[in-house]
Amino acid sequence: MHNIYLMILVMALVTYFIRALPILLLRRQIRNRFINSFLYYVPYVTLSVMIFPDVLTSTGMLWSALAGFGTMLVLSFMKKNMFLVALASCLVVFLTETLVA
Amino acid sequence: MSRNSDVLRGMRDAVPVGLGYLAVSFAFGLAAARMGIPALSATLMSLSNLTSAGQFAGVGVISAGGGLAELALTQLVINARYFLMSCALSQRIAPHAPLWQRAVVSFGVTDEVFALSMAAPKPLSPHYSFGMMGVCIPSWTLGTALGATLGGVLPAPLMNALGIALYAMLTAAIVPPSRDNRLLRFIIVLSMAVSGAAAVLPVLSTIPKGLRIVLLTVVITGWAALRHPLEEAPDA
Repeated sequence: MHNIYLMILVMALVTYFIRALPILLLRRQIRNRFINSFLYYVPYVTLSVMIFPDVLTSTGMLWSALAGFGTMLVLSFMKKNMFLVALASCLVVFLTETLVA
Repeated sequence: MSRNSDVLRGMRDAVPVGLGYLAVSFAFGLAAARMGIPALSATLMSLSNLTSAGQFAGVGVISAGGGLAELALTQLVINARYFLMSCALSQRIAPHAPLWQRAVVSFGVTDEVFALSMAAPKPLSPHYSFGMMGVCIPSWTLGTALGATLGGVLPAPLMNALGIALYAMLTAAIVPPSRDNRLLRFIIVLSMAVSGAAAVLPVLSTIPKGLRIVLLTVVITGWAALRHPLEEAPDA
């Protein structure tokens, strides 16, 4: 194993530069319509892609994950706040796992 | 100036994320300890990296005796999505914010902080970001330290329940605006469907996940921007 502190430093630097380059370099308002539209859609697409299908394996079993996923979709659609959505989803997963197991 | 109130607002809004981070970083600390990473190293990694998927992959490479180049490349691929998020954020931050503030904000770009930032009023105040970071960084670091030292004291159903918390937060960030916007609703459903298919299809499923996320994002977002360009400057 290499020096672990050096490895941690390399990880941190690479990750920081990925995050910082656009924020430090793109300081003017972009006027291009396509780029603006692209950036507007990015959060919805990238977060959706990250949520599904990974959410299905985020708990101990598929059923509890499905129950939790359904809970977060319904409550979010009802515009409940983030804290309530997270709490309710965790609770549903916990209940499902204790009931099924 | 309302700097202090921006900081406080950021801290308040980030509390649920901080709680979720405690749970997930606890799991990370536990996993790192099981892979033979000392508790101090795992904690320093969380403090300096502040990224879940990248760190899980990183300890995998380190414990397998991988080299620095492999480690750097793994981080580049897995964390490439932050590049897209930062591009979107660059247009949100108040234009007159000094460079050092932009440099600090950059450090705190996580999936959840990004989600909160996009939901915050425009322009994004760097002090709001500082507030979020003030909650997220300590909880991510503390959770790692606890997980690495205390290990498996939490019962499995409880850990499993907490495992879904971050997904719930991401969902709560993107779904509410789609209630009054059919196009956004369609884009969310489409993205999830394509992502689900890509995870099981022969060729696509072999692409490393970090790269797959970026590829799918570029393709789907590019399609949406071409097919449904915004009428005016975006303000949602």
